[in-house]
Amino acid sequence: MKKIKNKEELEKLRGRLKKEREKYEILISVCAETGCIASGSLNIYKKLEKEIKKIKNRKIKLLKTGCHGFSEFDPAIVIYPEKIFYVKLKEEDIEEIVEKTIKNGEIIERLLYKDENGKCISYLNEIPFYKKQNRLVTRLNGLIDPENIEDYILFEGYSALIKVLNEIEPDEVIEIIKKSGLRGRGGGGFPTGRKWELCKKAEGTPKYIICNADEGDPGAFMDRSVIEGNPHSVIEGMIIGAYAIGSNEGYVYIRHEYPLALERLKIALKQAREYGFLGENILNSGFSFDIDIVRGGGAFVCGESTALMASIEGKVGEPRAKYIHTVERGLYDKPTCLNNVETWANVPLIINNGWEWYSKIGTENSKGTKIFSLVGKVKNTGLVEVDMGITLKEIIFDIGGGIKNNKKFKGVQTGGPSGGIIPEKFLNLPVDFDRLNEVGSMMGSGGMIVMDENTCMVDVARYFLNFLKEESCGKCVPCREGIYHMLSILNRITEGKGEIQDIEKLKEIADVMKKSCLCALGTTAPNPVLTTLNYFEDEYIAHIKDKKCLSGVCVSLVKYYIVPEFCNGCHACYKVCPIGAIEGDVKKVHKIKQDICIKCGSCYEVCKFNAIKRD
Amino acid sequence: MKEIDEIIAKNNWSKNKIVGILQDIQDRYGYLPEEVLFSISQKLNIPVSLIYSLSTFYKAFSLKPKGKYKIKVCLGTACHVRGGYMIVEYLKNKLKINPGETTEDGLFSLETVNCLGACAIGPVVVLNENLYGQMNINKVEKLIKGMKDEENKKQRGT
Amino acid sequence: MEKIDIVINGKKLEVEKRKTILEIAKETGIFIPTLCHHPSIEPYGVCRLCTVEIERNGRKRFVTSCNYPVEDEIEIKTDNEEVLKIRRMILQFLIAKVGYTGKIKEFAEMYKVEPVFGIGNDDCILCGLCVNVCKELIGVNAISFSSRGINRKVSSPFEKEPFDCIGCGACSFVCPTGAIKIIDKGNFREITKINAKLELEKCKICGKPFIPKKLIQYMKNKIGLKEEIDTLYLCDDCKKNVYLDRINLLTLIGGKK
Repeated sequence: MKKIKNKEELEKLRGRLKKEREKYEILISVCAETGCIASGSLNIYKKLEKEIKKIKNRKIKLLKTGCHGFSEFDPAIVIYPEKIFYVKLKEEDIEEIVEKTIKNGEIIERLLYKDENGKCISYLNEIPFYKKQNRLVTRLNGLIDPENIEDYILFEGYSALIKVLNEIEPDEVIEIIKKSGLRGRGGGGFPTGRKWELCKKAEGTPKYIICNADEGDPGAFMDRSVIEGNPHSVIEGMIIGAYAIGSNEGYVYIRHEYPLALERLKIALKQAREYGFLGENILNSGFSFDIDIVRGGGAFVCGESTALMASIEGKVGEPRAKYIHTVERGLYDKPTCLNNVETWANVPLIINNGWEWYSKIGTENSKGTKIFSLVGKVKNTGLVEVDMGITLKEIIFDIGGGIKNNKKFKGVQTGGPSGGIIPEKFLNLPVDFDRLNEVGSMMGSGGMIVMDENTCMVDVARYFLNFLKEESCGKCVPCREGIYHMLSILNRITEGKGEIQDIEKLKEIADVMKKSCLCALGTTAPNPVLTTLNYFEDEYIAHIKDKKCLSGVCVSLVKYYIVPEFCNGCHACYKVCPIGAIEGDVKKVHKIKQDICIKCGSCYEVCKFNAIKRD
Repeated sequence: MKEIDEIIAKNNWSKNKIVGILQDIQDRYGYLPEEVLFSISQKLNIPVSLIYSLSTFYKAFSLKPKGKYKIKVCLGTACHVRGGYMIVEYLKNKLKINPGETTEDGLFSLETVNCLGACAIGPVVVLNENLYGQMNINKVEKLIKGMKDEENKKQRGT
Repeated sequence: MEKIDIVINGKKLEVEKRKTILEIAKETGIFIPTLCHHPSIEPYGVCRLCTVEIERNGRKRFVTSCNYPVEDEIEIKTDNEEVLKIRRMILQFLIAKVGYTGKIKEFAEMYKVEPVFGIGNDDCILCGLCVNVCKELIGVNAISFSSRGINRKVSSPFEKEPFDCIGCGACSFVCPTGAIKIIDKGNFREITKINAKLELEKCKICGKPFIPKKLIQYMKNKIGLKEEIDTLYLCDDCKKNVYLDRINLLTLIGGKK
């Protein structure tokens, strides 16, 4: 009988699990998240498993865990207790690792992470990527098997729930969350405690709890990481929230494009029920609560709370006017409390460590940590968790290691399609809910895309509008038509057909959209355009007046051509061209067929004789 | 049709679960056959116009069968910035279809996806549920060639 | 009903709580243009043409008047410069889609709207009146919206003959651009745009095809009719004659003139 009935039983189980873990001399964690698996980590795991079986008389534990966050260097493993960190592994490396490190404690230098100066770093906590991070919500990613609830229990899992059910009244739970200063991590930043309070006060039953795991912002994978690495942290948070608000039914709305996260969540829910944390009369408290999973259908707009609720109700994901808030009338017109994955995952931490502890982290109005997906043209791409208030510069340069290939930083995009691009002059801005809004962007859900000199800002604005053109539900006129017309203008500009009055036109459309669109998708759609116009107007002017794309991105404005004087017919470009746009015989001058060329730049990159020029 | 009943039963014969039911149908058949949708409309007393709305609103659904090899190219911001759009252009050129379409021989279908959450290893391409990171045009070309070779092998019966 | 104080276009009023701005405007003779609104269905709020500016507790916002419930101390402006800018651009968007047709033409002239984004020749502005009337008033849900974003359109299921359509023509009646047309030809009624083709019942007296068979069935179901009533199967002219005969007969029997 796995079911836990009370605090004593949980602590007894935890004691037993601790003893079992302590028996192991060595623990190896292999990250097994979507990204890591795509890099081949499962093959690494299987090989390790095979080799370790051969070792007799040693107690070695091998774990498939969530991601360490250092995605750029996957597949990676960590060997405990020393926390030896081996990166960019291949199957062929495993035998050597088992032979030298596992059996003899020897460190293999060539498999270590090397810093800027080429110095090898053996241990996880010494790696610069982690130095400025504060991994609280993600602390167990890399220590526990997300498909085993007992690992979560071992590391204080479900203690917060028991504490709440035994010792804390629902209203007091809400007070604790209010005092902690926790704000919604999905992008809105609404004070979580206040939301719970409003939902509790609202009239009507049943009340619903929803976890928004739709994470639609392109470039963001924080929620995916939390669910794939530590799903129980979210579940425990939801149960506590449900208890505080007085709800017995919860939903996790998870996007269709996250199959592994869905799998792990299903397993976690099943185990939570087996152990008595979900279901009827949880831990003999009289409180019942269970969670159902609803899959998204591939629609970004369903990340918007009213569209999400419509989707759960079996309708198309069309938002509705929020003149009456969803905490009062939400799912099925009943009081509903919707929070983001990361928000829920913060709750057990606050209960276990206290609101005072939590409120000391971060800034005055933005408490706690925030997880960011740091991606794009940065050296150390991955998942980072930092105190609110850290500067953009520290994230991108200290943690991120600066720009890849030593190119120049141009801007960082935050807040997804609702956000904006922040230029170099604002790199010293602290990152929190309010400061980035001052410069036209927003922190959003945590996607942070770094751009370099080869990123065309007009193209970026065009990219986001193109994205929204098909993700807009299409219901209201200003969003549907406004995006279409703004996009038409941007397409013309990137094709060299722009006119100088286009800039004013874009601003006018943006102004109307911000005021009259039905939901936030529409009202924030102009933000990427507005920020790029604000900070990179010279690029727009170059596209319009000079018909040039200085970053070399806008296909119609870019031309690659071979200078005959420098070409010696080495044929390298011919070999690398993906669509046969280059003609020429070996040792004879080559030529690029302009009508076929797709401007991928592969020939430009490969020519050693500087014979290929880009205009 | 017995399978349809099973799928509906698995979703508790609940009208609200219609999107989940359609997802199960999509998973099972690879697309949403018209007859099946009419059948569900009758069994659950949901207007067929609503089911049609749902089938065309959500990108996860397809009213036409997909190719044997389903290629999805991620066009999330991070992948775009790393050149994901080039891969789409290349595939459009090579397979002679637009995103959302299937080649005439039914072998390949091309789709763009808005972020699979593997941004750190972009550009990302998914081939039949297998995710490939750090792709470029050359790697994609090899992948397609590999699939074509397999097909030829199968056809020759080796 | 609870009463509250509001200000609309500078005028102080005492109104019922829970009324929408549009309802109050109508009652006080203030004109606000609408396209997707109809008194017999729930406000849809998608054309955004009825957008007005409100201010309350120092906070200024723009909301759609068709579905915004008034609150205490709210200040409403229905015609200031910013509101007119929004209204004009929405009309410009619609002209770019369907050109100067129906109600669009009327409003474009009223607000002196220039075709800044071009003049289109589509027929539908996606106001949703047809879909919503079919759903809420008629209750048959024969048509719906398909796809999303810029591809959103009014469709019959699979773009084939709508299975549930009864041929009542309500969709055509409410359409502000005339995009849906009813064509009675021979033994069939066709409704354009929604691909409807319904067989007509023939008048029992003169033999003229006059009403879709499905519509008679719908009416019978709606009233809960168990037996047949012969006047259901008569065209308007013949029905009128039958009634006149019956009235004359009654006068003869009862009146004794």
